[in-house]
Amino acid sequence: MSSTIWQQVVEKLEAKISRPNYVTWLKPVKFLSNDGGIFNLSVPNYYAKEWLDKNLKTEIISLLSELSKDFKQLNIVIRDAGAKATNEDLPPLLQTISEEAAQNEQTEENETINRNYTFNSFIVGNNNRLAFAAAEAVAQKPGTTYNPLFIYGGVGLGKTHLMHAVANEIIKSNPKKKIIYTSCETFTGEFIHSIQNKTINDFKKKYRTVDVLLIDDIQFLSNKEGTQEEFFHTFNALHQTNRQIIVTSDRVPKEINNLEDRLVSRFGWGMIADIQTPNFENRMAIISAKAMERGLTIPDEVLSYIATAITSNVRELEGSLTKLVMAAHVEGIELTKEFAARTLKEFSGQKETNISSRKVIKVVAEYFGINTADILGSKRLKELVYPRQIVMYILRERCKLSYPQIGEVLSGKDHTTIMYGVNKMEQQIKKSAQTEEDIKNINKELEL
Amino acid sequence: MKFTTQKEELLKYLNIVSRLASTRSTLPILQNIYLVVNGNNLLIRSTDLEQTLEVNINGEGESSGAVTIPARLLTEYLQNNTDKIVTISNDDLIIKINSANHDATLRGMAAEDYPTLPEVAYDFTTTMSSVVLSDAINKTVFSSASDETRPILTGLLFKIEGNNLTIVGTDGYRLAKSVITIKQGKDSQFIIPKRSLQELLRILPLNEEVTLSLAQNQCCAQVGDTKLITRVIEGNFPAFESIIPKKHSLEVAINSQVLLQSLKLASLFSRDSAFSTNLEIKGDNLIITATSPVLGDNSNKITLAKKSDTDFKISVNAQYLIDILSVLSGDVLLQFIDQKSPVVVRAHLDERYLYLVMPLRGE
Repeated sequence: MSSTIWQQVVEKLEAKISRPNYVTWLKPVKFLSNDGGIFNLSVPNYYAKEWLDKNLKTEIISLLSELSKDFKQLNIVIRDAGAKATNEDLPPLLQTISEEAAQNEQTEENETINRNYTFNSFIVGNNNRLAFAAAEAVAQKPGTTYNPLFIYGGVGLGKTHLMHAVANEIIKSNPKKKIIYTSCETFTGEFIHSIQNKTINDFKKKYRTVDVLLIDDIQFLSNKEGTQEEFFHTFNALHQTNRQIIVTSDRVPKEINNLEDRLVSRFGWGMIADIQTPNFENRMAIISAKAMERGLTIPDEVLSYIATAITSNVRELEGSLTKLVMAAHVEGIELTKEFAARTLKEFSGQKETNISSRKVIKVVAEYFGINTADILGSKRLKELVYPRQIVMYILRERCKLSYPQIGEVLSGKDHTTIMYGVNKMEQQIKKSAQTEEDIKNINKELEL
Repeated sequence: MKFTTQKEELLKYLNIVSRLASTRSTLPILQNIYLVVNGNNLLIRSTDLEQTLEVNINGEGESSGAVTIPARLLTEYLQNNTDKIVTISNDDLIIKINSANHDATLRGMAAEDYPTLPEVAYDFTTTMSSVVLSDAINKTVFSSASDETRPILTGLLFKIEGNNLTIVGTDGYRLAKSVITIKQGKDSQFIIPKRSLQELLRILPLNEEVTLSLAQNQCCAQVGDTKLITRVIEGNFPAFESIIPKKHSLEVAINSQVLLQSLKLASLFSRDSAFSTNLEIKGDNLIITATSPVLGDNSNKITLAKKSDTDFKISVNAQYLIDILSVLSGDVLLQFIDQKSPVVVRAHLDERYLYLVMPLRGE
């Protein structure tokens, strides 16, 4: 991790320079980010930059290149301590200003809100009742009821939908409210960009003056210390002035890796609500509602087939409906259960669980041109470890085996080894197109 | 280095520069001042890492060089030295100060270790009268915030438009605005720390004219041979224009010193209640009252030159009015809108000046 690398650098340098020099110059240096080898550090003033440039820069660079393989460049920026959290209500004069400003300002930020995502178009079921109720409560009294609102759940279950629904409801009753919806990635990107271009104040102004801040997929804050700190201050600035914050994540705050404790605890201040995968009745309700929304009449048996076939994810449910209707329209045939079954073959999640672990191992071995024994063995060659981890990943993701179960399948490996392997694959899929491609191809093979 | 100069001249500048050399600094060298002799010029510099002060003194230089000297010891030594001419010289880090009847050696620190400021290219430079600027800062600087919770408010806004420089200070409860004329400028705005402006007030009397230069992150004020270089606070100043009332419903003219006197009396009784003081206008009287459950109460009557048609009552923090009246003279105008809107104070002698105070919530 890059910030630990920086800590190591600081520790090494601390021993070399005098205590006063350390306290005055080195200690205030903050690690901001590591952008593919470009280390960004911030110092509080010109004097510190000048001193570092003169006295420590070459040593920092040599230590960084020693400790970090991908080190390319060192970047020191001057950043005011202006980022201090504000911990009181606005004094009266400023209150007047912010009220006036709110009245004059256009609601352009609100353009990021998707108008189609409303409470009305959200299907409530047992799987999401709590989240829905919390969202409604927040929409009625933004900033006071549950602040922050933390919604978590799997992909395509409606987290983003709920978040937008709150925003739309608030806009309806008060069009002047300033609302920003952004993804965690965009937030991070903008933050880094603003440091590079010295427009950090514009950035702060943008995010700290909103009435409602919506951030999607907050789990991506993991490992981004600089952004976490900025988000922390944004959070405080908003929370202290009773502005609503809503974030979504694919897991509970505690399980987000490398998320600062102070953020974890803050996320718990308001309400943490989960959205589960919908059960069959919910899926039926959703799919019928979607069909109705589009003015389609679809036989019940087809609807029920879709609801049976697609279990994990509402987005796929909708997608398969669209796909079916399109296919039937193009081919000019009637929508029947059989037609649905044929068309949705590759979508069907049903079969996944039927795939045996033996088949997975066989297919993966064939794909990589190695023996199944190599996968089951314990040789730690790179050519073998990678396929082995892919097996772990697929057994986990597609066959839904538990870690110990997978361990057993793979000649009694420890469950922590499996966890590591699955995690590593998850990371790698995000990073490497090749891995993504491999998994996709193997999945295709498994279908046959 | 070796340099000979008038003691009084040296002491005068040392008194200014050594203020930044803090004895509380974590970095020992910051307790020193930095001296460079170059030909017949002696440059003295000090910094607290927020701002830097620099002066140039003429004298007789025998040899060039640089060293740092403990500021306090040097200043106090010269204060009590009765000779007229002093010579400062050094042998590496041992500094000798010789004069007709007194000799001393001081231990210095290496000049290379003293923090340096990078040379920056200033965007533009403008000049103005020191007296006018001094007056404007004096009437605004007290309004800015002293606590650091809102860093922006610990600075004063300098806004240049054409030949006008507007200076604004606010702590969120009151606001002071002063407009002065400058020689030339470039439309821009920047925020200068309150503390630096307080330093600037000390050096402004040194010369009739002051030159302000501005770069992205720093500002330099030059008065004669003295320079103050300070950081500029990053961020956006509150949009103050929107809170300056455009009209008022009631206006009274009153002598600033008479009003000040009464407010000071009232403030004795409102100390424990946030200086909550009532102003009441009734016919041709302004009645100022304060009540303390512990201390007692006080009432003051001032006769107004002009009778008011409407009666009006408002409660304010007396201290905020005392602050402004202490730096104004002559008549002031008090303007009111209603009990919830800011009270505006205007100076008769300076119509471009404005001060406003948020009223306290009435019971």
